[in-house]
Amino acid sequence: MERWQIIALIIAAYLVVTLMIGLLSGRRASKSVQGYVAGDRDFGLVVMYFVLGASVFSAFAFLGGPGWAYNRGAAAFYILCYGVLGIVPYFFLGPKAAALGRKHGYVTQAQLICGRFPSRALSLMIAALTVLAFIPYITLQMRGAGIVIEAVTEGHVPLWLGSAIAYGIVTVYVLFSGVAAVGWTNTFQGVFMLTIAWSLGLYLPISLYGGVGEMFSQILAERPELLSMPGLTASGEPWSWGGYSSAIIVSAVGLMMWPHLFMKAFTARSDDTLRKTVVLFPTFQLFLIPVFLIGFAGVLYPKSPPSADFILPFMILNAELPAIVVGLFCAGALSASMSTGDSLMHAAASITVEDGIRPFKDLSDEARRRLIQALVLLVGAIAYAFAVTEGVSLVVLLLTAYGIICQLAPPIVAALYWPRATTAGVVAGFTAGSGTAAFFFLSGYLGSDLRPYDLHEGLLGLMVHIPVLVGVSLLTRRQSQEEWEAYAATT
Amino acid sequence: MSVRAVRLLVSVYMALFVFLTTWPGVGLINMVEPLVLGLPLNLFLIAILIVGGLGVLTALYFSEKRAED
Repeated sequence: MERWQIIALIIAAYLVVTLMIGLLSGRRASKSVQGYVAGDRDFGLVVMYFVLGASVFSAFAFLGGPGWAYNRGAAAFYILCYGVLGIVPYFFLGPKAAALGRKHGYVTQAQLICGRFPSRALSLMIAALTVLAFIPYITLQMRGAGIVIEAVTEGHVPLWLGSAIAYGIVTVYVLFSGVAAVGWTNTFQGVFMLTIAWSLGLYLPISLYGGVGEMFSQILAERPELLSMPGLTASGEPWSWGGYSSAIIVSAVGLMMWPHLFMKAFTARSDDTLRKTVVLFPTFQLFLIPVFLIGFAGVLYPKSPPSADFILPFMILNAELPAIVVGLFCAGALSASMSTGDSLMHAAASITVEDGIRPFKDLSDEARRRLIQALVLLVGAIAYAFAVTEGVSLVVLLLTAYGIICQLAPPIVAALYWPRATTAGVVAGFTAGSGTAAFFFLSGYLGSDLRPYDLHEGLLGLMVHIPVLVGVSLLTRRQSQEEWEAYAATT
Repeated sequence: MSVRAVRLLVSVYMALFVFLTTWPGVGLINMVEPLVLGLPLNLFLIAILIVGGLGVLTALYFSEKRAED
């Protein structure tokens, strides 16, 4: 048997195990929307930990992270910095959102916001923008899976087929088991990812350079510009401090606002579980360091991959490891892509139905669940179409997605903590903030970058969003004490 | 320590975290040499900041739990 066939067999075995876990996990969940979207609010600590961890170890971090370290150097450090900052507010927001979810039956963010600020337009706007932000994210995960499979099978399984197989399996288990499948498969995949990160991250520098310190000494001697923050841009120019710093801030604000993560507050068994998950979250940031080492190991390697995103499978294949080990490593890399992708597809479909359709049309629980399942298929198909189309600049779209997603933070904080906030204020703030972010993104995309100090458009959006939310709220009639208490009192 | 004191500690730590990882404070930790445990000093210090974050969050967890009980 040829080498690539052994690798393909191991990957196939991994995919079968994932599918089994995904299908078996759904048997216990109830057939309601609450069971399908919020896992009957019964996720324990281990599952919650890996569900959040999978968000860090997405295809972006696993393929993009080493890719950044490889050609942008210390610019990649920003990915390490925002996680801790981003998770802390969730220590307080998470349990509070969970309590309101139990009280009012919420399963999405827009329900949480619109429960306080009743506006069908706002609900629809949030749903539309989040799904818009999700599509490039899912597409990126699918491409990631395809890239890994194509690279390790030496092109025998092309990108389009690899993506289709991996995501066909994801679609099947998400359709049948809902969020329960996401939780349990992420736990299985998480173990794989940690194994690949640590073993390869330490093995490559040692085998190629004789040690991690040796590797960095050599990089320092030959490419010192790679080791000082803020690193380089994709084209090799020095990156700006404005760009680097605002990337950290926007990602920290946006991190837990991603609906597929925030909504997991509604899946946790107890507040204690949520809080423990928050406390343990920074450990995943530390696990990213060996992933960066994989990228740095490629810097002085005599050969180079076709593009920076390929550096991880490229290094795996060039490390002269036994085929079985390569297969296991690739299964780990696939895990990174699939464990994020399943969560995203599930959340995108749930949001479209719960926030985009339900406020306008009354549907039975059964009909909503069926509709969510139909939309999982549709979202998957759209993302797949983009994934196999060359020339769509996904990373650009993904960075913009963060700009949109972080605009969800002010309405959530206002809903939970600020009795004086009004519906008009939140609608005006959200519109102004998203509009500002979109404006600066489009101006840059069309060739004339108007952003001051190279600041991230999401941060510029927040700078407009927050004053408008506060100002318009103060100018409009305050909500009555009864309305506030009917919403917020949970004890 | 009281619940409020621990919450304050977490806030101060996170403010320090932002200061040291973004411009201009990042200049204070942005040295490559000496390598520590094989890592450039700036990367090592970021790792230390994350471990510190793990520490203060653990303290926050136990303090909030004690207050609830």
